[in-house]
Amino acid sequence: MELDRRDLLMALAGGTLFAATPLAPLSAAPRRDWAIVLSDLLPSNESARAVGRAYLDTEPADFDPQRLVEDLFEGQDRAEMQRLRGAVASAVRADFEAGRTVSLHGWFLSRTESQLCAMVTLLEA
Amino acid sequence: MYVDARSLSDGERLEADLCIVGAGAAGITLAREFIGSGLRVCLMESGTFEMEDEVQALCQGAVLGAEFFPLDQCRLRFFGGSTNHWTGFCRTLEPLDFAERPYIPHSGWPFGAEHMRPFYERAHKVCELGPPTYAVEDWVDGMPAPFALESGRLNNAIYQYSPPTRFGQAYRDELEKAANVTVLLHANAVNIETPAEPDRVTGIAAATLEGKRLRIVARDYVLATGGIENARILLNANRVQAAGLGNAHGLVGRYFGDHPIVWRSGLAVFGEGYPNLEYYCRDTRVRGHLVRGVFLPTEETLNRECMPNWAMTLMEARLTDASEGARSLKTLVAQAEAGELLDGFGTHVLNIVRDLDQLAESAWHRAFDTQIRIYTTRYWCETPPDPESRVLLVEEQDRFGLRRAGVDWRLPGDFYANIVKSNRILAEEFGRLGIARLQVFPDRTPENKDDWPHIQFESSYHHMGTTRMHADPRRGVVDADARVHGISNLHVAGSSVFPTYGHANPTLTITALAIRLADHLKTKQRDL
Ligand SMILES: Cc1cc2nc3c(=O)[nH]c(=O)nc-3n(C[C@H](O)[C@H](O)[C@H](O)COP(=O)(O)OP(=O)(O)OC[C@H]3O[C@@H](n4cnc5c(N)ncnc54)[C@H](O)[C@@H]3O)c2cc1C
Repeated sequence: MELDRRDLLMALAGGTLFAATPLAPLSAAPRRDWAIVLSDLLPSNESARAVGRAYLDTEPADFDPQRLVEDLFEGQDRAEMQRLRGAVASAVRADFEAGRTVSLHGWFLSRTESQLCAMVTLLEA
Repeated sequence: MYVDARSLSDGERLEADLCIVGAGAAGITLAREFIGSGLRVCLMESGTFEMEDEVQALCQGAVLGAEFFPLDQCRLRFFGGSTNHWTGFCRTLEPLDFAERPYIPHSGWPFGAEHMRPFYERAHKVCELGPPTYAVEDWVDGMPAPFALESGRLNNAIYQYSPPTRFGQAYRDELEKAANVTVLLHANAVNIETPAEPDRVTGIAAATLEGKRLRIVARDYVLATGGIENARILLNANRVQAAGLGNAHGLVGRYFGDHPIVWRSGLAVFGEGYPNLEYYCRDTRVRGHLVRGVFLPTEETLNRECMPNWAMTLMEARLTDASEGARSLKTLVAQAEAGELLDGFGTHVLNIVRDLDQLAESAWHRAFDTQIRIYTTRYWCETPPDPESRVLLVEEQDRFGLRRAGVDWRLPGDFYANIVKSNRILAEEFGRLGIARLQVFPDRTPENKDDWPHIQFESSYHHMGTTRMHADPRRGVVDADARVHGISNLHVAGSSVFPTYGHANPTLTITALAIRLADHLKTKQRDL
């Protein structure tokens, strides 16, 4: 599955995605495109929701979905799933390296993986 | 030569150049150093070659603070002392352990690691250890490969095992043959005698359980009765000064430390097929010596996080390591092995990691399809020196009318936070390497303690700090030569002199310090 980066960013930029509160706006975003990309990345949807909810419960101040996506898609003209996966894996490792971790039910997870789960959760909300 | 004090006449007086009270790791090492020196040594020991209930009962006391083993079960009172039971896990203290750390009040030794090096080298032989090196590169060729820890936050390291040397058995014959050493068995030190102005010791009053009284008179005296008893004897020696001997500044018994060990502090889930974890979870014999790989924080990590020193290793998890919830889940649904150990959330975490963490993807998939590798993290640490953590006298008395010891062990307020922090550091290393995710077990509270019965810390039988070493008499009971401040001929041997503890088990350092003290006393006696 491929998605044009422009389409994706358009989708992101649309609506109130980046309004003041980080949690509400995603629901206002065009859901379809996001759900396709992200649910493909996270086929274990129930698990993504469980982790995402736990993350959102921590009321993270630094949860910025736009930046997350831009970082992951940086330098890519087209969002190939394989490359996206690679970008996520690198970001996850870089998070651990830099200590950007969150503790959910005692599990230490990278910020990127938790935030991706949070996005899925919000998109499906 | 061995003499049973019960065979001596009541009121008998013995003379020696050096009187050592207590024949454990410290006392035996010290006495051995004098073999053939021409100096007469009397090594007094409360027990004999086997444990005797009546003698062991002299160790009874009160537990007043944090969870602690009963006092008559955490040490042994017979020839060889607690080395009759010790495991033999050994490591030298690290340079940082000797240093004064600004974020750990009262920390630091009067000398550094380099000063200790020759004594450690000699102590290695006494404890029958391998070469005196703990550098991973000196061992790793014979071991399963450790992880490539390159973040600068953690180091791979090793501990060595002593066979374990049972000092009482290993050195029994040698002491028997030593013409200048008399080992006085069944002799309990009951008082340290001094003049009215207690600037020197004039004799040790001893007694047998049968009621015989003896007196040992020497030029120098060393207390080597273990980390609790050294303080107790000084506190009970209160006929001249009510607060006890060497206690002008109220420090005797204070700064008591042990190494809290959390056998299961977290759960680490590895993808199957990831390189060997054996380095961290199995003892390995390398060129005839048993060693164990551990994770240690780097100095930089400790300094940045302002943490006391700690160590971690891995153990294969068992079903009992799972939460109550996860265990009962097992009875409801036929679960894969992972499901038996992980609660619902843990399983979700693994699903996510499998989905997202590309590098480990194949490993995770295999892990899920077949078997997942779950380990628990074993954590132990030093506690910062705390004057409120202490050995004191309680009202109850022993057979000799001496007040028993009470142990009021205090853990620092950030003890649990540091367990979490340490596990987080390890989790971040595993995540960086793409090999595992780690869950730290939640704090054990009265509410969840039944859910997580294994989240318990134990004391480690390492009784330290109660006669701490410091050049300043207001900050230490003994000086840098282990001499009790203000008393010219009374020294202390054992971990009670440690002013800061490190994570390493103490007996190697106890032995090294005993050797150091022997050198010092030989010079002192020669100069007299
Ligand atoms: C189960 C267990 C496991 C351990 N594992 C390890 C380990 O793996 N690594 C490690 O480094 N350490 C370990 N230790 C601790 C280790 O045993 C001690 O650090 C060591 O024995 C202390 O040596 P010591 O000579 O100072 O005191 P002790 O060994 O306690 O010896 C003191 C001696 O003094 C005698 N004594 C006491 N009071 C009197 C008195 N009033 N008059 C005359 N004699 C007296 C006692 O009978 C005893 O023989 C362990 C201890 C136990 C109990």
